[in-house]
Amino acid sequence: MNGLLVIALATLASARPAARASEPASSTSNVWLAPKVGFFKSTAALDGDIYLAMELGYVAPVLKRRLAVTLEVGYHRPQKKGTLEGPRLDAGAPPVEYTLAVREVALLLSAVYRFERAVGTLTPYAGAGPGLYLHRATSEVLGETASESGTRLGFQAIVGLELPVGTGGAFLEAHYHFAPLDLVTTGDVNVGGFLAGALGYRLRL
Amino acid sequence: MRRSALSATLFALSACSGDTEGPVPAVERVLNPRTPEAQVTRLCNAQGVFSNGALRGWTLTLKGKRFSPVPGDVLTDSPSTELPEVTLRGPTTYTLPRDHVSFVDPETLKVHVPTSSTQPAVELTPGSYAVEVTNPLGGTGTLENALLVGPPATLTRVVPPPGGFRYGEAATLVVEGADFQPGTLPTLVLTRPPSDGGLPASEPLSTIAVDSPTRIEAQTRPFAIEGHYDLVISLPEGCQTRLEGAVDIAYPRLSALPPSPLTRQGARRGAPDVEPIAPEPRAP
Repeated sequence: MNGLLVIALATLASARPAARASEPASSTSNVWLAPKVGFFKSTAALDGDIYLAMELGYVAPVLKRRLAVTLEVGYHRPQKKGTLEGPRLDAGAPPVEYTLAVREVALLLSAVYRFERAVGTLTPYAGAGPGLYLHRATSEVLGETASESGTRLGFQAIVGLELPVGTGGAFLEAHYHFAPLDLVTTGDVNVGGFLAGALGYRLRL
Repeated sequence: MRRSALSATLFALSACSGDTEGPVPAVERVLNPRTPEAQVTRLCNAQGVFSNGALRGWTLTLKGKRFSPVPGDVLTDSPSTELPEVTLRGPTTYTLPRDHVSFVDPETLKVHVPTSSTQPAVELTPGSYAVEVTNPLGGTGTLENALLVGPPATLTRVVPPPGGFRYGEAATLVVEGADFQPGTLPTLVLTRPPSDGGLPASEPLSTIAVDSPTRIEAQTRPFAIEGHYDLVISLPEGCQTRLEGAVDIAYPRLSALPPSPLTRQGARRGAPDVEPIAPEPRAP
């Protein structure tokens, strides 16, 4: 995964002609739509998983148009596998295995400060904001499926780097999510974590 | 105003109560392992069996379908297993503590029901109970009239046979008391403490009939050993009750034979002579 990120970053940095060509278009539109894909690794004991998201952005007419407000809807569904343990299980019975999947749909509202073309054609940016995290934990044990859901407020922080490409901009970014969750199967934990190297493209509308 | 509305909306969303969805269990039978073939499953609300050095009450086996454990707190440092919850609903409603329920397989649960003798004590009011099983993330299944809870029997007295005990003949005893169960066969045993450090003696009785909740007819063995006995009654579901000094088994003595003259030739008539015999003195 790290190799993929390095390649993507190199590709973005070398996309100079297209970036120049897209400069007027990107500067005239205040709204963008950006699909993104990445790899999310929770700080809880969940496996990593592919992260998919769609971002809607708006450049506010303040601070020399460097402040943007974004609303992102993200999705990922990491899993954990294990064996049931405890004194209340019949000692003579074979081990009982389980799979727990925690689906997360996140609504992330962020204020993002963009350092327009601060590094050549690249635009670094950073932001933060509240997030509404909708979780559904599904466990599979002995052929039976049970699930529970919960919604909690959290927050997230974002850093990224955008390169003008075509009418928009390709970007590479990382997230940190604080997503509290308290369900029977998971316990009271933060299932947030790090989105390492999401790739996307901001299409100026 | 807008800010407060937004705050209220976010708070309402964040406080959304979660929902759960999972398999709905079905309870098909409740068994007392002591009486697995009984038509009516009974449970005594006192005493119990010892397990790991503590009185745990009585064990019941629940048979059914879709008893579904789920992993619990598995993303924390103290993972556990969440098992179905078992509740007894009747004259008293009692939800068993989590550590009193054990999972065997999706069709079998074992539960330890505490009694008035356990710590803490739980005395279920006698009567008919429904047994309810709720999966941790699922629905609830109930079996109505699954269990009949009763008290231990009370012993008042034992009426010996009218003509007394006769060696070599079984004697019929009438046991009087309360909370006997007509239609069942309790175990009746006469016991007495060990004599001279030996093993305690016991005389099993055979139950003829439980005539009513207050009267049982039982028989002794033909050659029961004489003695002063306690009576112990054990109900099929497990509870025992003792009545101390319940029965004296004693057989009639032969009356003293009158000394009769010997008719053998050479014998003397009249009372026999008694010759004192003493040990010979020894020289010092």
